Amino acid sequence: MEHLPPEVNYLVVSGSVLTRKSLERTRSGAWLLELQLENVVTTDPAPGREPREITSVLGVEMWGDLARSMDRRIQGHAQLLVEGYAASRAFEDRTGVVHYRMVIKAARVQVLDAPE
Amino acid sequence: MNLRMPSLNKVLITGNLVDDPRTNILQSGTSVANFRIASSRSYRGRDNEWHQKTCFVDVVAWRKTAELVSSNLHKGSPVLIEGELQTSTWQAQDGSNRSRVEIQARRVQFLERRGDSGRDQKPSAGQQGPDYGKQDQPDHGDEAGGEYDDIPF
Repeated sequence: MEHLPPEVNYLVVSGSVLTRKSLERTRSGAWLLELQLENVVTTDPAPGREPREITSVLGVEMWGDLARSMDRRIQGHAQLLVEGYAASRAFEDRTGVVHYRMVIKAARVQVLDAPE
Repeated sequence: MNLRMPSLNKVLITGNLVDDPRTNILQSGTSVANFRIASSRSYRGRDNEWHQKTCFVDVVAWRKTAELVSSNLHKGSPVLIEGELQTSTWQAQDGSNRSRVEIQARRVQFLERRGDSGRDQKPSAGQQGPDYGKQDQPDHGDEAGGEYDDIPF
């Protein structure tokens, strides 16, 4: 039996907000909030070795009502849990070569900082 | 209760290889395979029509997984990748620092049925790979190989 190819694109990351842009409205009228999330994971140690911390900086986009709501709730270097999917943004370098940058399009965001 | 902040980084994504995987064997003898997948997502737009968006994601596989990728996958192969996002950094020819986000594959499931590849020659390990693969080599101990490897088909 033939199957349709599955469309799976799901990710979940946690981390602290490193930088964030101001809430903006795109030309199509949609709300957009962009931020960079610093994610730190500790690897399981290989035999005889210490565990290692790996830090990654991940671009996150929030759109629409989520962007507006998170703009109010995210303060400073807030700790977030982000669920969403991978999307790529194309850009051209000075030599005209097209590169792709991966970003996370958030579908659900939890602010993990306890309220003051 | 004082809780530790959870550290989460998990990705599940399907797609098709954009090119043949590029495989290197590092001086330490570790195999590393770099490849890019195109992952399509269907969604219903405001016009109530179905649309498709494609994203391109770079993937790195290590050790046994890299060897299996190298010997079983080629341009167009459908795969399911399970792994984590990681920033890879390297120095460009002009000396500037570059970085990008890629998936460190923990598990690669080959979705192609046996005999569907349409190719007689499979890519072999030891092909020249991109420079960034040599400069930035995360050490995952045994995580990337062994029990995480998927037996093809």
